[in-house]
Amino acid sequence: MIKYGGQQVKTSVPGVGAEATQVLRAKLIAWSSGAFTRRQLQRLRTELRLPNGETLPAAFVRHAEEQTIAGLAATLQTWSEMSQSLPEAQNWGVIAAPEYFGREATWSALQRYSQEGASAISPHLIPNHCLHSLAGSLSVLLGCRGPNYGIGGGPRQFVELLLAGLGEVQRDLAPGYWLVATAWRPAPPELSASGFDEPICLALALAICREDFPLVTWRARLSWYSWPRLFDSASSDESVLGLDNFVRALYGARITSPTKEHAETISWYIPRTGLLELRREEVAVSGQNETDYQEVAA
Amino acid sequence: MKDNGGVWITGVGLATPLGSDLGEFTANLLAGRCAIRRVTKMAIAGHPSQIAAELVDIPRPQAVDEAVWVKHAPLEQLVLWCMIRALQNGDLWERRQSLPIGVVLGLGAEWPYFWERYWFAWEHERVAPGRPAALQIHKQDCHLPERPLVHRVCEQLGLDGPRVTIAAACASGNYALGLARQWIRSGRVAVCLAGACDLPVTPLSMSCFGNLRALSRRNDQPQAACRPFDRQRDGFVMGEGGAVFVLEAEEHARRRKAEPLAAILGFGASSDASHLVIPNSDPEPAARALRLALADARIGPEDINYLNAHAPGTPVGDRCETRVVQLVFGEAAKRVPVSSTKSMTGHGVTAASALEAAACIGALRAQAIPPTINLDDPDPECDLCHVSREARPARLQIVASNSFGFGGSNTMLILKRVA
Repeated sequence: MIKYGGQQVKTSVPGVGAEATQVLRAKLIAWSSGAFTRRQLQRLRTELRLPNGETLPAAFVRHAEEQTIAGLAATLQTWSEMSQSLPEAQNWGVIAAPEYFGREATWSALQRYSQEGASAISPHLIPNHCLHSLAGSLSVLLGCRGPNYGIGGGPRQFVELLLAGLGEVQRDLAPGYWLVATAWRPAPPELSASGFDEPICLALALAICREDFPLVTWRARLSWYSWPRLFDSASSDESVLGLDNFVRALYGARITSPTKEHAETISWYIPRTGLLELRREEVAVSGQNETDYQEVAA
Repeated sequence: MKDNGGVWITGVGLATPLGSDLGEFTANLLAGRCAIRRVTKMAIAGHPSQIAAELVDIPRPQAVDEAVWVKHAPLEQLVLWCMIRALQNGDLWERRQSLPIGVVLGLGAEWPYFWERYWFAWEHERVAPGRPAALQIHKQDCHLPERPLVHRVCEQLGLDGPRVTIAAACASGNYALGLARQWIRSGRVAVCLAGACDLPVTPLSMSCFGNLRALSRRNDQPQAACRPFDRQRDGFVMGEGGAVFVLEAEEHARRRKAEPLAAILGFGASSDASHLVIPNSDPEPAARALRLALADARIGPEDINYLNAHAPGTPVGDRCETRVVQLVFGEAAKRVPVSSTKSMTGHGVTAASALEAAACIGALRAQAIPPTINLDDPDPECDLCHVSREARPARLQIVASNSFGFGGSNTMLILKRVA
């Protein structure tokens, strides 16, 4: 049984019998998500305020990638909505998974290179528009001195963020992590400077820490049976553990997937905050046991 | 957390301008050979820096048909070569599909790499008719991939385990090894491939780093251009290559009688949180990474027999790293031998720390420390125990590798010889 928002929802998963052997857990302290148009992102460059009340540094405003602005906005929103202050906030780490990060800046730079040569290329291109840049920027702006790095970078690689982030909290490099994911929707089909009337930039910021952090209410399990299924980014079905579905689940939409016999099924459900669990289930060798996904109020 | 004890490195696959196996790479480093030349892979006229340690030929593994091989972009070939060689070297090639093998791969600019190739393949028709392209790429050889490289390669090799692409700029390789070790220690996988690859000699990255004034402009003296810790250093030199390692739970490796190349003893990471490019003048944040690594390894600085420094040869970077080492090592900084193999390999950017981990393993196996070449006149502000110009025989049990990167990333990896 899963308790969610005071309700109990029965979810049975055929084919699950043996105890899971591969589990990652972290506490989801807080989260926020946003969806921004280009115009809104432009405005946020000057309107956003850091936790100390200051505006964004001028150089950052000038050179930051749009997904960095979106990721920062979601992170600041999460920070401001937390009912308690972060323990050792200055030592937190940042892991960020943007999609096709720096695409437009690269496109523009290539045009300039072809027309004007090497001297026309901005020295800010790589520092601000590579996969590491979103995490690095948040680390600098928020003053987080824990590890920072980028993850994924391509289409629908959100699950890699969870794999890395939930793995990181198990060691002692930082008391907690900001997990930040961003992506344009619709996703860019190919290298092109324009193409969409009104694309939206999704951004999600999760604040997670080790499971011994106090004040946990809910537990969520995100389970699957085989690694390839988990990484099935070519599939568009809603069972894929992607950014869009994860955000939907955070807002209460239950995500299920078609169940096949002994299949590579994913079944997951997320409470608003609580214990987040990524678990690879072992398919039972004999029989078809039914195992309820458990609850729980801590 | 489940802790299965030690994590061993039991295989390595690498491709560098100084060799495509560990023995050859190590021998060249110990001989003080430099791979830096004038750039040949792209039209370099007009660039501030025109030299690099290019990886021109990526060997084809016998396991991949020629017809399939030529369809891959060089970055994909590099990753394939390193992963296949690592599995073969670790004696896991035949068993790769019966184990859930994880993959943590440092790729800092995978998508920009493919965008750039795509652009230059079509450049003639876009903006510069009649003008030679900066990169000679045939259109039929160039497609924009729909799926991430790490997934494509894992599927091609039949690897069925968790996999991620990781990017911490020049510290990516160390982060990859650190995360893979964590996956093994927590019991998620018994075997994991980890490392990093990069081919950054491209028009955009040579322009960007050049205009950032990060690259050496000693174009007329390629072999003398990269001068870590030297008073006359004027920037780093771009390098290319990749290294992927087989990481394995010690217990698992012992059971199958695998030969260990080294054990991962410790890892530490932190961020400067001060600037995206310039290292923090305050050594404390970076010192935290070193202290975490030492604590993780349960050793003191004096236990380290050799430190492979990040030391890219930039005026600011080498000086800041020296302060960090002096702060953490204290008196031991005067005794622990230090060198920068970037003086010979160039700076492999995303791949740098993976290449330097390979250099450390080579040093452990050869019981000799590779030198910092071109260190003729040590900068007094870089006062460390340098191994300059020539390799030095030494009893090496524990070695460490610093790697720092854009975004303020600081890391240290500690390796131990396994008898």
